[in-house]
Amino acid sequence: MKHLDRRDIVKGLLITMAAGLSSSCATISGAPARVVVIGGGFAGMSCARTLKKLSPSLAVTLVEPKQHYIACPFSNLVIGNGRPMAAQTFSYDRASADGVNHIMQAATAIDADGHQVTLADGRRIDYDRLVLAPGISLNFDVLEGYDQAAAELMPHAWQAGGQTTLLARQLAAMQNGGTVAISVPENPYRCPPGPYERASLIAHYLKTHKPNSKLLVLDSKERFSKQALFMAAWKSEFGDIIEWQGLNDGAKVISVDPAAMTLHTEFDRIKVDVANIIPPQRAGKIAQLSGVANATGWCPINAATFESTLYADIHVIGDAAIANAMPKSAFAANTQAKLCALQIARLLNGKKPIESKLINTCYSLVTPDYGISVAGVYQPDKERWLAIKGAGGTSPLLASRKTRRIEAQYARQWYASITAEVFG
Amino acid sequence: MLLKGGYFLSRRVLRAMALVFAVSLAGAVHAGNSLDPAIAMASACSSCHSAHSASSDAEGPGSLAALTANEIEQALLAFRSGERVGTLMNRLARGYSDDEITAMARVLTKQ
Repeated sequence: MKHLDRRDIVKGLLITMAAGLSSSCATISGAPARVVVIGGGFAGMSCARTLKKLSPSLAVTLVEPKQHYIACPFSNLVIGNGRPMAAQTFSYDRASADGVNHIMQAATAIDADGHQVTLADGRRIDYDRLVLAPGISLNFDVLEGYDQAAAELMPHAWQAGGQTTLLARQLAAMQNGGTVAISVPENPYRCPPGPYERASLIAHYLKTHKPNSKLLVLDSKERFSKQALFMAAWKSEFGDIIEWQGLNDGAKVISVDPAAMTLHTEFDRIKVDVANIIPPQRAGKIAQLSGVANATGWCPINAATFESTLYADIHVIGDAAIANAMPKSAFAANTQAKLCALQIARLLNGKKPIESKLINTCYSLVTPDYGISVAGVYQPDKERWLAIKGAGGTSPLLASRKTRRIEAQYARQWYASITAEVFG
Repeated sequence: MLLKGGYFLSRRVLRAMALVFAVSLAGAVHAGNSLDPAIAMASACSSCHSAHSASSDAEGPGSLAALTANEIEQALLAFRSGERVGTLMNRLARGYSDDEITAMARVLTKQ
């Protein structure tokens, strides 16, 4: 028993439950209950596989057009620090191996009354419960001059893939003494500390390879995640390379001119050599098309079950959901997915949902050997996920080099664990 | 082993099942049902603590598989009180009650 991996134990637990649950996990006609999951990221892939483990008799379908998943966490190391994209790329093979039916199509419509999803090829699939895990879509309607074409000149790199390597190439091509700018949106957006980790790792690259260069962070906010930690580390690690300007400095980028490589704030017109524009975001496209997202662009949910407050039998997890105090992170998405799967298995068996606390941890790298973290413990209260006071918080402001190195190492181990759990 | 749905279970999972049956029978509870809140809470741990995180460096978060329930419980209590200093675990442990820590430790490993 000593050799048992903890994950196997949890798998065992889930399967034990299934032994009691699966016989009743069926519709009135006797056919297995059908759960459709739209989106195959840290939320969707995790939810689909957990559902199948909990209730092997369930018919679980994963609707995800891509053949491979490209992970955002750690993709900031691809930009300027030589991490290969292969280390960010994962196969969906394990879904099929677990008995999940992976349909490589995009979902184009949801009929909530008829309990049907329409696919890009015109097919319609029925569900008893639907899980929406579409992640984010970039909102190209807000920032004047910034559209899909502009993103080819001024990459967002906020959905990992070609955009990530484009930004890496632009940095590599820039001359020593150039200016890089990162434009950061208002909350909420995917990965709250992400822009500042990116600023750090770009500065690390500049200091190492192009030390006369500058990095300008143009923020639409006055405060940001792990701010004191980042600011102190920027000074100690990079001297004057990073200059951060916030909302009160008039730094919010209002429009861009990609042909001229200029960014426009309320008072200024700034010419740069490399521009990383992280635009405002909203829930993935299908959430907008189906009306599961509200006027905020995100999806309101009942906290404990992740069921939409707008449509019955539709659950929303991950970045697309309004989970209040819980940030839009891969960690949060994965923990939400596992809880949501458990709740759906219970609901399909006529059992009441449970209340469970959830946690989040976000590591950020300042350099490859300098890690900091923020963590939280959360509990559901009707429509809100609330942070538990007294728990969570950031790494200490004063800590040894060794502590920062250990946290960088933990960050790597977290990435290895979570990607193995979700995709391995 | 083949279940009625035709699903093959690996030996490792079967061993885990046997363990879990022992756990739930010891608690005289209906399999799964009353353990669900603890299972749900404890399911977050594997994002960091798994065989994949175990490294040759003793400082890593590592797998919990080698620990007993009592060891996990005592570690969480020590992190919560600050008696043991970690990086993240102090911050996380403060979010849980005694009962929640006991329940999570039980479902994470054998009694």
